[in-house]
Amino acid sequence: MIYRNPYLIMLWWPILALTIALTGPSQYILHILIIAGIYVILAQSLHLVLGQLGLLSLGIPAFFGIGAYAETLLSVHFGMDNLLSLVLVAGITFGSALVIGVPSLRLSSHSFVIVTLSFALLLQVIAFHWISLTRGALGFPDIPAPSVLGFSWTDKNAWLIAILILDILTFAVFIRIKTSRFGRSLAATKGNEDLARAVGFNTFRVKLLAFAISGTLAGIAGAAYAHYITFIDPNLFGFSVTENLLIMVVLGGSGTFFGPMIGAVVFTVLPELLRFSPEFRTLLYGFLLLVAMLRFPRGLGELTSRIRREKQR
Amino acid sequence: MFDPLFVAQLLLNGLVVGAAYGLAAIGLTLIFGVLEKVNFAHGELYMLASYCLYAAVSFLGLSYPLAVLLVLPIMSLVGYGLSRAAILPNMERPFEVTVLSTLAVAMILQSIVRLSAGSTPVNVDTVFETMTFEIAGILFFGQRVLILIVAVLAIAGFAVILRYSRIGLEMRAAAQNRLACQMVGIDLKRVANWSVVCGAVLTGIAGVTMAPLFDLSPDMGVEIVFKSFAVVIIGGMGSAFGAVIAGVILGVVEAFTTGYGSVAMSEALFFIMMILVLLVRPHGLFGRTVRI
Amino acid sequence: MRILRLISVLSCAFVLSVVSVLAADIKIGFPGPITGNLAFLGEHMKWGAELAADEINASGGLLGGRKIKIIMGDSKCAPADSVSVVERLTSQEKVDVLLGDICSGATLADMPIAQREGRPMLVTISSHPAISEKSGVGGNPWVFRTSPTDAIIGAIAGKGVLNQGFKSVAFIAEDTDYGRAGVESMNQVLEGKVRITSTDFTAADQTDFLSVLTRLRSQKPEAIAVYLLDRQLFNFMKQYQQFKLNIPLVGRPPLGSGLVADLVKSGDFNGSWTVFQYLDSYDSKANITFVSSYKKTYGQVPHFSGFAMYEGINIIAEAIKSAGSTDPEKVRLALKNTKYDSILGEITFDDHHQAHNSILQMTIIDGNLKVTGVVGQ
Repeated sequence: MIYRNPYLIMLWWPILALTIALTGPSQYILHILIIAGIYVILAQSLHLVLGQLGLLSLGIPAFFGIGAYAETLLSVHFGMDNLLSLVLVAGITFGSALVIGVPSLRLSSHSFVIVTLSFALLLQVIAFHWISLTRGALGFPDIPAPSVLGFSWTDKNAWLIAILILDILTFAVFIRIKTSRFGRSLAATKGNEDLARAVGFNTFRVKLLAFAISGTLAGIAGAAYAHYITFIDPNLFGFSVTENLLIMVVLGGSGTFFGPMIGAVVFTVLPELLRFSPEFRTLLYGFLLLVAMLRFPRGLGELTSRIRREKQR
Repeated sequence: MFDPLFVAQLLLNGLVVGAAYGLAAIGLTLIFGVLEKVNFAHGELYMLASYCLYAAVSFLGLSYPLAVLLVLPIMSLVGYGLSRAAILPNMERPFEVTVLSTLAVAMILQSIVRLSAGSTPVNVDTVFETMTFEIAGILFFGQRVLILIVAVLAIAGFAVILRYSRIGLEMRAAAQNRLACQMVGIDLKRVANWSVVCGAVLTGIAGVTMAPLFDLSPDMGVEIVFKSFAVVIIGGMGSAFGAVIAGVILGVVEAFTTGYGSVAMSEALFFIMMILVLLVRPHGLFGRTVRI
Repeated sequence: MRILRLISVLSCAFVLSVVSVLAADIKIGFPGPITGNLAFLGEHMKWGAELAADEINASGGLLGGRKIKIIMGDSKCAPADSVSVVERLTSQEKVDVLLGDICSGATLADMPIAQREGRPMLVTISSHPAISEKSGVGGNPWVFRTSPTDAIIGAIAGKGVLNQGFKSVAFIAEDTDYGRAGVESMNQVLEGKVRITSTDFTAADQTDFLSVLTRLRSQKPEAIAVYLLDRQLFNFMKQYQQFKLNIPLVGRPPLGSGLVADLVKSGDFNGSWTVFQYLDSYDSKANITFVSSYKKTYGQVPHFSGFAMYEGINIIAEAIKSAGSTDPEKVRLALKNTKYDSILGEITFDDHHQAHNSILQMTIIDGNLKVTGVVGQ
């Protein structure tokens, strides 16, 4: 049954999360599930450009941060309903992604990597110094709880449901893209860009649109993050988010569509599991990563699809 | 405030700081030029060399020159290890796999140093640091001048290797066309190992000359990586000469914006300049194949 | 499906994996930077806490022989990680009492968790004014603070500058909430009375001060007000030496830090002073005892983060003793009524749960850093 619509496999995450939530777990475990859920959105965002187009964008934190700050400013200064602000944030990050994408996508793939990284770091510097807008290093503490159509929440169970809804919406967007004509043009561009262009695809526009959608997803994740953690500062634009994302997407498996999701969950949980040894945590993590890269360069997702294919034979 | 003395001092500052940036980036640009792989463990190589220097000076009681002579072979071993663990296995795999593998090595190196040396910062003193000359009202700092000299020698040495040695020839060939290399019988594994080893040693040279200027802590490599990226991009991936020139340009611009403006402006400038160069001249100032 | 099964097993193991420790131990936990660029402050945090716990355990423990167990989690001083650590400490490790993080941003993010879970939290290092604004009558009855706020220290430092009659001052501070709040509070005292020649905010991990020093050499302010942490101060002072400048460092440079000990001795910084909550060479019997056992156990003299945690654990222990149990509400009330004999004075909490312990003024005289004043708040 599950094989008929392969995309249904993406539902394993919300189902697992809800199952765990129903067993009445501790606040800590709920916290990890929520963070994993936020990273699921980010992982899909990176996957859209890396897995579908082969472009390594290290600039996701740029949009994550823009989303977080935009949402915070809209909520704190204008007190607007958060459904409306979410739509505005999506628009703002979409626009920013276009602005950043247009010059960056013209470059070679290696330069693209570094330029996207630089944009994120540049935004970090701006966030530190444009004090009147961002409060600089002081950051924004006490971000209010989200308020959607009058309904507000701080309880972690409610948060988990909210994040899972966003995750399912993200999957829906992704599936819609994959099964559409746009999705086919993505595959064509990834496969052989010159050939795609020869056949008539405007590959630049294809890449730009994918980049912009990816940025929008990251922005939405940022907005959710801001309300959940209730504190943001310019370090959001820094490299650690990218580092985590890279691990999730590459080790999750950028070749498959569900790989990044697996990566997001596994690699949110794993560092927390390793907390039993605070001193050696980073060392262990590094070793695990290195070994994983040597043994599973295509990621865990690839492993699963290989197993599935063998079963089908 | 167009006091000529102030301007001259800023110019000199920019020159020496820039030479340091360039020297730190040569190793990165070499690996990138030959293998087209980005080494995210670059900062940690720099950090490791500095800590080895510290250990040699403090625990073995060696003098600065002797300590340096000890550190460099160690760095070549580390480079070999890095190559075998993170670069060689991933040669034919997608770009991001190497990014992650080198990141993993970076994490491991940082942890090892933190666990063995502790988090308390340490420092190394050399005789050059006490030397400050004042000529016509401008200050020349001993250690920084040393860095400038070493940077120049490094490019020269690098050029000699590239032009006159067999492995240099193979590196240049690999940078041009890897498939063709295999067809003429060049052992790419050998080239890869040698490139990473040279990159590690060059970065090690940067580490031992620059370490005495500041304190050492296990996370000092992180700052180096991003600045080195900027230098490599602007200078052109694969060009050591470009790296030093780009470094100097960045250093001078940074000195003047900090001197006349503030630190904030100069930070932003690094990234803005990198982005601008990439938009206007994507190959950087001096192109992409491995040249001096 | 093997991978799915693996993941389900992992999740279940994760759900079920509660580390069960002897119920008899009294658990005190806190987040702090074990990795990251403040790692060495985090190390002292741990040392101070563990020294206090070891001493108490060695002399019989609390509440009839129960031992104190210290649990520290790596927050990297980042709010999101700090929150993870505190969530874990309260729901997995089930600590009895919490302590705050070093960085104010992280502590501020942790405070609501203490309130939600009903666990007392003692903040001993973070200095952002908002922390006490929100505690006690400010809304969060579970959080207490012993460290002085930036506002208070900044004001004292500012007055120190005025008292010395300096006409021009340059600011150099780290670009964090600590640096900015500090400069802000000093500015309020100095505004209009002293000429500010320049204000530089440097990235927290910046090590090269060449250009800033060049500008200072050219502008020649009468004093340089410093709001940097130990590592940056070390680099700043080291490069300052090469410029052979003669301008005193004032404000709040951590001159007492072990990192700059050699630089202080060099004699190039005579006349520089600072306002700080602790100095390891402070000449009181209690301090000398503390410093020597710290040095014997860890090989270094205590940093103020070690001192702060040492006293923090002791204050918590006193509260537990007077409450007669580890019941959170009882400990909270006992903390409220704390009357603790600190090495620097007496610690009690006001209605915002803020202590007003004495602050030390110290000046470098002939290569030695000496306490030249004890300022009550």
